[in-house]
This record gives sequence, C-alpha cells and structure tokens, in this order.
Amino acid sequence: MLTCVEPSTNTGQSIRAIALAKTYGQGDAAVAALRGVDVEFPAGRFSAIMGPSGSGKSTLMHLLAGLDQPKAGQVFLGDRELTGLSDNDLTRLRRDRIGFVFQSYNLLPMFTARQNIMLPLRLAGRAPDLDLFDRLVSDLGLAQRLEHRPSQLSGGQQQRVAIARALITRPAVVFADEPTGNLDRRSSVEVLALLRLAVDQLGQTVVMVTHDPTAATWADQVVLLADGQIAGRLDQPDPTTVLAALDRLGRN
Amino acid sequence: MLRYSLATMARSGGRLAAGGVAVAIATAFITIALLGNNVVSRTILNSLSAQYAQADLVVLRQTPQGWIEYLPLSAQAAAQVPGVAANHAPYQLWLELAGPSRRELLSASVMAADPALVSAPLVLGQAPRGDRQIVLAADTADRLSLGLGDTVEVCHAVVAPPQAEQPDQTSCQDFQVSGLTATDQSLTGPASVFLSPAVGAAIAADERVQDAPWFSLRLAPGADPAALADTVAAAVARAVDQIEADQKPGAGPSDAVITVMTPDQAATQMLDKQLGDQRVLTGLLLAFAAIALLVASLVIANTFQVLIAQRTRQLALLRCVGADPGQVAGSVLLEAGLTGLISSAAGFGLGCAIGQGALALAGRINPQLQLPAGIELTPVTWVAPLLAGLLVTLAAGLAPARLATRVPPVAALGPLQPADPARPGGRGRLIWSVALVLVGAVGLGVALATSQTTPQAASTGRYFAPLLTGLAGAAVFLVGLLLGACFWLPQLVAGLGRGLERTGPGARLAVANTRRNPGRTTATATALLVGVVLVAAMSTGAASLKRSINGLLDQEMPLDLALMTSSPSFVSSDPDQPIDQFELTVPSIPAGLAQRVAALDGLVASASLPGTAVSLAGASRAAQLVLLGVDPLAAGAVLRDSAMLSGLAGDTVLIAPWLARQQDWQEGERLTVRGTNGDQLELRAQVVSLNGLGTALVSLDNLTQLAPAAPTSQLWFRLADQGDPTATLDDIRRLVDDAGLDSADQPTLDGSAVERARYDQLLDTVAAIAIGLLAVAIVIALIGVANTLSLAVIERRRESALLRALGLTRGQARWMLTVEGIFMAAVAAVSGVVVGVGLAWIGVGVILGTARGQTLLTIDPLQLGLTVAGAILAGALASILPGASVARTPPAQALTTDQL
Ligand SMILES: Nc1ncnc2c1ncn2[C@@H]1O[C@H](COP(=O)(O)OP(=O)(O)OP(=O)(O)O)[C@@H](O)[C@H]1O
Ligand SMILES: [Mg+2]
Repeated sequence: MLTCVEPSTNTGQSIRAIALAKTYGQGDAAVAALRGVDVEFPAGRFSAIMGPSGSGKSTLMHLLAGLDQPKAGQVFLGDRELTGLSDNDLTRLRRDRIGFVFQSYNLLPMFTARQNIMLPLRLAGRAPDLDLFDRLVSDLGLAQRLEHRPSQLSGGQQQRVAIARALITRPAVVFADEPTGNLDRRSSVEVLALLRLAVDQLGQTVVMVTHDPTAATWADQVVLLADGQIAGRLDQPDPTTVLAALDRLGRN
Repeated sequence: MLRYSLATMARSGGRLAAGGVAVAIATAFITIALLGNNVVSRTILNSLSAQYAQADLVVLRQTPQGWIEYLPLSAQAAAQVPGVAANHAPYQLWLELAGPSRRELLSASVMAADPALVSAPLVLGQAPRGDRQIVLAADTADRLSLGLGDTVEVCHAVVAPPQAEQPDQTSCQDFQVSGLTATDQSLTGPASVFLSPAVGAAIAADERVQDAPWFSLRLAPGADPAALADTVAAAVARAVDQIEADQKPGAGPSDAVITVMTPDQAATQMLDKQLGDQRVLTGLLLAFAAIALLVASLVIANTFQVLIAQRTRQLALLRCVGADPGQVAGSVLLEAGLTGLISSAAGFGLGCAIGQGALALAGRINPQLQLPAGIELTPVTWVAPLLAGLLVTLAAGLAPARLATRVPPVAALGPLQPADPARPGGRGRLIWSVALVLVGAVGLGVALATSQTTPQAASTGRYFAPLLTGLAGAAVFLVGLLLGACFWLPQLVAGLGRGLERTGPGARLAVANTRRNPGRTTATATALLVGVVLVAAMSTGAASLKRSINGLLDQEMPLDLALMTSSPSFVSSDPDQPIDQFELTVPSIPAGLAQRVAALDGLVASASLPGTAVSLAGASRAAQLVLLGVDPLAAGAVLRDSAMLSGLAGDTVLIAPWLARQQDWQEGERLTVRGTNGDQLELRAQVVSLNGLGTALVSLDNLTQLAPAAPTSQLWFRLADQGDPTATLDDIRRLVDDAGLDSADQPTLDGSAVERARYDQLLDTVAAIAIGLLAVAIVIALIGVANTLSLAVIERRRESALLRALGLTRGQARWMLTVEGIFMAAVAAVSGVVVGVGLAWIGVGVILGTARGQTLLTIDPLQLGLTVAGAILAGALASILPGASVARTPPAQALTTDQL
C-alpha cells in the first residue's frame, strides 16, 4: 500500500481557470468550444468533468494542462499562471508537474512497460525514484509485466502502465480523459480505484473527464459542462444525483 | 479505381514527392548520358566532314575491314579526270621553324590551290605564292612571335636514300609569312604551317613523303558526282596498282580498294571507327545512371511501403465495401505508374535543360570544337529515360501492391494497434544472399589468383579474363551483401545504437525508432550504402592504383629530367684500323647554367655527369663513343629506382643493349677503354638498358682517371613530388635559352617528369569524374533518408504529440530526428567504406597483378573521411525539414485528430 509515502512538495496543487475561452477555426467555420469558463479543481481532490459530447470537456482539459493556448482567460496551477508561458516553459512544466492518462492508453509501442513508465523521468533527465517505482508497480500489479511491449498487454494492463507513467513524476495534477472508455467493468473499477488511491494516499489532484455516471461517483466532486460553459456542480456525487443532473442537461 | 488512385495521390502528394524526386534525378542522369553520347557523335561527325572543307568528292583507300590506307601521291594526277575542277592531297611534312622567341618542330602541309578545298581557311593575308612564302596558323604565329610579313627560317630534313650509309642532312631557307589561318580542321595530322604546292612538292621529295590520307576533289559546274565517282575510282585504282607494281615487283595487289564518295558519306563511314573509345565512356555513364536508378528504386519502394502501411485502414475499408484484392493492387500500381510517369517526365526535362546548358557552356569555353547547335531528341534519347523511370517505379510498386492485397477487411473495424512490424527476410533470402556472397568471393579469389603479372601479358587478351571475372565477382558479392542487408544491418544498428543511447533521451528515442522498423531502416541505409561503397572503392582504387603505378613508373622511368648535350655520341670503327684520331667532340654544359638550373625550386636533387670521348675495344670490334661518368651516390639520390646502376662498379662499364648487339660485345667481356690522353683501363661489359641516357657509363673515378678535366655532358635532376613539372620544365628551358648558346651546343631536355605528371593527372581526372557521377547516387540516397524520416514523422504524429505532452521539448524533438538521420547515414557510410575499400584493394590487385608484390593498399584518409563526414552531415541535414514539422505540431491537435 502507498501509506508510507511522505507527500512531496510537488504533490497536490489546485488548478483554476478564469474566464477561459477557446475558438477553433476562423470566420464562418469558427466553433466556440469554450466560452468563459470559471472553475477550480481543489488540491488533493478527485474531480470529474461531465457533459454531453461536444460540450468542450477535452478542450478544457487540454487548456488546463497547457497542451494548447486559449483565446482568452487564464489558467493557474497553484499560484503559477500557465497562460502566457513559452512553449519550452510549458513543456518543462508538463514534464515535471502534470500527468496524463488517455482513453487510448497512448503507450509508445517500441518501449517496454518499464521504459514507458520511466519515460517522463528520462525526458526530464531526472534520477528515477526507484522507491516510488517499486510501490507503483506492485500496487498496480505490473511486476510480472515490466519487460513486455504494449502490444503484448491487455487494455486494462496498458491503462495501468499509463497511470504509473502519470504518477512516477509525483505531478501536481493528473489529467485523465475518459480513462475507462475502452475498458470493461472490472478493469474500469481497477483503474478508478487506483486513481482514488492516488488522491487518498499520495494527496494527488486528479481531474477526470468521463461519460460514465458510475465512474463519476468515485470522484469527490463533479463539474458539469454544456455548450462550452459550466452548467453546474455536484459534491460527493452518487449515481442518482449524477443521473438526475445529466438528465437536466439533456433536457435544456 | 482511377478516381480513387488520383484522390489518394493528391492526398499523399507530399509524401510521394521525395520518391519522385529520386526517380527524376536518376532519369535526368540517363537523359544526359544519352544526349551526351549523341552530341559527341555529332561533334565527331561534324569535324570528320569539316576536314574535307567544301569538297564534292573524296578519294579514299580502304581495307575490307574499313581501315584507311594512305594513297600514293603520284596517283593524285590520275584523279584529275575531265569534270574534276580541282584536286588536293593533304600530305604531312615536318618543318622546324625558328621564330624570334623559340624554335619548334611543326606539322606542315600544302595549302590547296582551290579555296573550296582548304581545310584551314585564311583569316589574314593571302595564300603562299612562289617559293619563298609561307602561311601559319594564327596560334602558332603567336607562339613563335611572328606576324604577317615577317621572315622566318624554315628547316627540313633531307632524308638519305634507304640504302645509302650517310646520315640525313638538314636544309634551311628563309620564308616570308604571307598569311595566317584558323585552326586546321583536318583530323589526320592537322597542320600549322602551309606551303605553296610547288614548295610542298619539293620538300615532300626531300623528306621522302610519298602518300596522303585522301584526295579531295572539286567538280566542274554541272558535273554529275555519281557518274564521276566511278570514273575517278577506276582511274586512281589503275594508277595505284601501276605504282605499287613498279615499287614492289611481285608483291601482288593490296587488298585495299579505292573508293570515292561524298564527304558526308566518308564522315559517316568513319564515325564507327572513331567511336570506339566514346562507346566505352557512354557505357560507363549508363552504368552509373543504372546505379542511380537502382538507388532511386530503393527510395521509391520504401515510400510506397510506408504509404500502404498508413492506408491500411482505408484499404481495409475499400475491401469491406466490395473491392477485390486485384482492384486494390491495381490502385497501388496505378499510383506507382502515374508517379513514375510524372517524375520521369520531369527528370527528362531537367536532363534536357542541363544538356543544352552544358552544350552552350562547352561551346563558349572551346569555340574550336565543332559542336552542334542544340541537343537532338532522337527516339532513343527520350523513350529510354522515360521508360526506365516508369518501369523502375512500377517495379518498386510491386511488393507494396502485394502487401496491400494482404490487408484483411476486418482491419477497418477494430482500433488500429501499431503492431511491431515483422522482421524482414525469410530463409530463402538468407540462403540466396549467403550463396551470392560466397560465389562473389570465389570469383574475386579466382580473379586475384589468375591475374596477369607482366605488362607483356597485359597486351594480350588473357589480361582481361581475370578483370572481367573480378568485376562479375564484385557485382555478385555486392548484390548478395545488399540482399542480405536485412540480416546484418539491423545488428550493426543495434550494436552502434547501444553506445549512442547513453547520450540522452532524444538519442535513446531515435535509436529505438531505427530499431522498431528494421526493414525500413535497412532499405534506407542500403540505398546510401550502394553509393558510399562505390565512392569509397573508386577513391581508394584510384589512390592505390596511383601509388602502384608510380612504383612501376619508378622502374620504367627512373630519371625525372636530364639536360644533355646533343652530339653524335657514337662512331663505329674497324678493329683492324687503330683509332689514332678522335672524331668526336664533346660539347659541354656551361658551369654557370648548371648552377642556375640546379638552384630552381622544383628540383630536389641533381647529379652532373662529365663525358669524354673514348675508344672502346672488345675482342671483335672497337668503337668511338662519348663515355659518361657517374657518381653512384649522387645518382642514387636523383634516380627513383637505381636498378639501372646496380651493375656499376670499379671494374665495369655499362653498355646500352643496342650498342652491345651492334658491336657484338658480350656480357662480361673485357673491353679496353682508351681516353684522349692515351690512358687505358680494362673493364668488364655490363649490358643494361640506360633508358636512352647515353651509350656507355662508368664510375666517376674511372672517368676522371681517363680524362681528368672532362666537361659536364649531362645533368640529372629529381623533381619535387608535389611540384608542377611543366612549370619547372619551362623554367629550365628559359634558363637554357637565356644562356645564349650556339644551337649546336644547346643542351636538350629529356626525362619522364612530364609523362609521369600526365599519368597522375589522367588518373586523378578519371577518378574525380567517376566519383562525381557516383555522388549522384549518394544525393538520391540522401533524399531517401529525408524521405524515410519525414514518413516516420507523419506515421508517428500521435506518438510525437504524446511525447511532447509528456515533456519532450521542441529542441529534443528535433534532435531526436537529427540523431535518427545521422545514425542511419553513419551506419551506411561506415559499412560502405569498409566494403568499398576491400573491393578496391582486390580490384587493384587484379589490375596490376598480385605477384608483383606492389599492390599497395593506399587509403586516402582525407577522401574517405570526407565521404563519411559528408554522408553524416547530409543525414543531419535531411532531418531538418521533418524535424521542423515535428516541432511545429501542437501536442493537443495531434492527440485529438484520429488520422486515417
Ligand atoms: N481541432 C478542432 N478543430 C475544430 N473544432 C474542434 C476541434 N477540437 C474540438 N472541436 C470542436 O470543439 C467542440 C468541443 O470539442 P471537445 O473535443 O472539447 O468536446 P468533448 O466534450 O470532449 O466531446 P466528447 O465527449 O465527444 O469527447 C466541439 O464542437 C468540436 O467539434
Ligand atoms: Mg473529448
């Protein structure tokens, strides 16, 4: 278990968006994906973003993670403003302080599981934290699979490798875009339990986009998005409240 | 399917471009080779017909094999049948002209009386008239510092009749320069001095010149050339038979026949005889073009392979909606065909443009060449390149087309996992490649073992058998090696990569990338390998050949330069009549001149050889000659190979073989040498080739004993290896001219320095041209490297975006691609150099013969280093564009767009 890990200075910071706006395309073809989003995801908490398809969830996540530049508005990681940073500064920040988990795992096919997990540290030129590595590996049940390539792993196993890769840098925030979208119920539960554990035991901040109401109930809070704007917020969600809220969004 | 092919081509345009450029360059190469061949043929044809000026008919004497035999001059009159207005025979004379600045021995001829038959048209003044006028080619007049109206002394030999025992005489007269001409267009002995027919005939009689290469005729207005041709032929044939019957009674008629034809016919007929050398050159050019095409085919095959891999899902979708495998393969081949057609058309256009440009440039640099005005597009010159480009592209598309038919329809359904590509190369390929390598190696071994060891054998056909075996062996070996590249290249990549990985995350990723698709890395590196092997082999071969040939030249031409007094150096005499009076005088080289020459920069060592007249008597016969004395130490420093002097000792005299034969002196025979002061020495004869440097040599000590104050008769020099021998020669000539000696006392220059330099220069030029041509293959291969890298970038879009999301900086992303490019180029370059040097070494062994023990593997480290460094640098350059594209892609965009 991850009980004995002392929280590092990096661990668990809040992430905040102020009047965030994003438009894709130009002129007639312009699509306003986000229009003035104000939201805060508190430090050391597990948050879920929900909303209909096309409501701007992925866009919001990309902006929060510094993967893309907004049209207007600001993003703060803790006290530090992300918007306006140079590409190299943003890259360094992502490398050191942000973790990603994707729906389609996105492991590098030519590297083994171990190499994939260690990759962010190698890119940063940081010494591998072998303590953390061993714990993550044993908690994620990957010990027997470390020398396998992604093509030799099941979807659930690949996603667990991806989570280990996200956590190995002790990031300030972990973003997960539909991490259970491609998984069956059992594997989904494993993945969600791991994210929950990271929040509870490591004090990580986790932000997860999901369509699955059951997955959302693992979170501490749910932020609802519709048409590129915040459409509501649920604390301590349970299946009934989540379904009711989605229902409301659907009707509008 | 056409519409589908066009649509996909339009989408993949950029990706096809690099492959297309490779094919276009190769096609341009072929086009230029063929156009060049055509231009050279027409240039030769032009100059062949230009030599006949505006003649209507040409009289030739040809053997049944088509070779030209000269016509007796006395048959010229017979050509003057009714209907022939004028008649000219361009016989060749030799005249020595003494201008204010220098004397020169020049080729001369008569100026045709009829202006239409003049092959060197007048540019100034008038034709020579009377018996005291002469016309010079303008450049010759310049060289001799002569102008119109100047007087010049002209000397010619009066050749003694063959049986008479008297030497040739020289006859000199003053002439006035009456005109200047353009360069003579005649190909057989182009003349730079022209005489009037009367003077020409007189000198021809003196010099015993009795024949001419052809007669040219101008016909009277209205005469029928066809009818006259037969009449003239018959008349001349009769005259020739008559003349030869008189001269050599009983010899029987020669099998050569008299033919009369128009100048154009004559030129065309002779073209084939002239083209032998040029055919070889065109063949070589085409061989290089074929290599370029082979490399281009590797590049384009690679491109298609990647395109198919990228379109797997699309192709599967096509199969889902009902396309059968044939249609899928057809669409790929159609795409290949269109690409081939477009790029070979572009290459052909490029080739034509370069050809035309080069022609214009050559015309401007050397206006004397009878260059055609423009390139000429015969069917061969445009069909062959276009067809070659098209077929090679189609052939390169075959394997990818088959790959496309193997895509199962279900591949369209599931999400696409980038599976590890299968390792290329099956058992069959391994067996084939090992077999070919072994057969090639045996061929090379046989060639080495049977290579001929003597220059004598070189002139016979036996010399070429091992050469051809060696060439075939090398080709088979190389094909086997390339075929098996997928087995050994990835190992090499893995080995080298291990070292590189430690240098950072970018390098680590790059190495992993080169390993993940061994097939493609192999194909890319192979394309480069071919070029590097050939360039390395060529430059090492040239360097080794040069060194080995220098070794041979040292033996054959040990002395660079000799300044020697010219005098009759030998008089045979009767043994019965003792020699009491010396008929020989020994002219000497003034000490001041010797010092000034020896002080020149280009000379590193010199030896002075005193000479004295002696009589030499053996058992049977005696002779008077100029004996030279040589100091073995000083001469050793001058000679490049002192084998010539190895027999020189205190009790020996070196005798040239021809003298020994003539005087019937045997090797080891005791000869009595008597000097002018009456002193005598008994010496043993050593018969050894003196390379034309004298008739007899003794050691310096012996000579001083015979003639204590003997004057310097010869000076020997060794030239600096890095100098310019022609310049040094000119310097020496100037010093000699400035010395103001009588022409009888003027020492002459002899030696092999200039010839040596010509050999060196020839080898250097040939090697430089060959390397330049092979470099085209390297350029194409580098396009291939850029191509592979950019395809990899496109293919790994998502992956690069992911890496960027995970924290790979732009610089690291670019560096990743650079390392990949450098790495592939380095593997190819290094292995290419190793293979190339090995083959070159064997090649030099075969050419010169191993048994001579002189096959020296000379590696030109600078050139090889440049090749490797160039390839690596180019590999880095090839990564610039793909690297920029990786760095530009915003990570979010690449992660969201799910590209098909
Ligand atoms: N690269 C892009 N170019 C143009 N429009 C885009 C781009 N990416 C997203 N959009 C548009 O922006 C809007 C928000 O897209 P986004 O991907 O954020 O939605 P989402 O909530 O993540 O949807 P889903 O639940 O389907 O993943 C959509 O209307 C989409 O069409
Ligand atoms: Mg989304």
